[in-house]
Amino acid sequence: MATASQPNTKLTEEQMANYTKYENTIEALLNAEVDAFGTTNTWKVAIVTDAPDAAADDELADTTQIGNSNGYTTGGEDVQNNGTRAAGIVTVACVDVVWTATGGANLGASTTGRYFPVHDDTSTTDILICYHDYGTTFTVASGETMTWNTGASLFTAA
Amino acid sequence: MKPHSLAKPRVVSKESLLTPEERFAALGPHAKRFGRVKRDAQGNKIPFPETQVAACPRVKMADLPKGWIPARFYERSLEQNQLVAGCCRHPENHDIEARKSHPDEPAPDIYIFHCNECSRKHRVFCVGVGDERPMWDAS
Repeated sequence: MATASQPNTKLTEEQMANYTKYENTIEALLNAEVDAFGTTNTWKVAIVTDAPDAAADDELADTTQIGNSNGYTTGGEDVQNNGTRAAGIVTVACVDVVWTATGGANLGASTTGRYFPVHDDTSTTDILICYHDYGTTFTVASGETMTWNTGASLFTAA
Repeated sequence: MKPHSLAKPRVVSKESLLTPEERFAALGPHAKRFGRVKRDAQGNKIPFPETQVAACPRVKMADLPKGWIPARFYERSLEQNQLVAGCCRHPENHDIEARKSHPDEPAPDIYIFHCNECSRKHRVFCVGVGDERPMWDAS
């Protein structure tokens, strides 16, 4: 028998240990290359295999994605981002993304996916915004799923 | 009040005052931990160390209080997902375990559903702010 002994934890942004912003992001925001407000620009989340370099990487081409096969589409999936403002804080909410491995082999024919970078697909160079580290490589076998769950929001900006 | 052209501006580059450790800390806990990615002699990125750890033991979904696992963990990925096997579409058919992507996580951020009929795994990686992260013990 399992014991649910404590209330479900709700995290604040400061507690998010798996989240990292790319250094270039703030410049891209202030330079109007990335649009975080409303739903004008399309943001996507991808699955990549190589360690992100937060200081040097600034576009999706700087990463190595898993293969374009078996349920994974190169470039990633639309997160339907929506930035809204309350007082002086903008909150960017996204929908959850579910990948299902189909076609008889692993998602993206990969056994080495680990990082989930978010990028602005509307920007000319697919500018990177942030990434999340799964902590180890993973394999999504045929018929299995991987869900990128954003909860209430992806991040806030003030 | 002086017009701006007569004021004495004090130009300070905040960037130059920060140490590399402080710069990376400002990017988030993960960047604070690992800093700039290291490269080998050929210039290839060296992978980050594996950091994932177990958080809550594998238990039957039916043994947890109803509603303890948020429905959004399995609604789209299992119940409404026509691409998975029929047995996988029933959350009650599953065991669940929780893990942390790094020991510093204050609560689990990875939940793995194990189908008891076909042994397939369905993973949920929680990356959002303010999302609910259930915990449990085995007893």
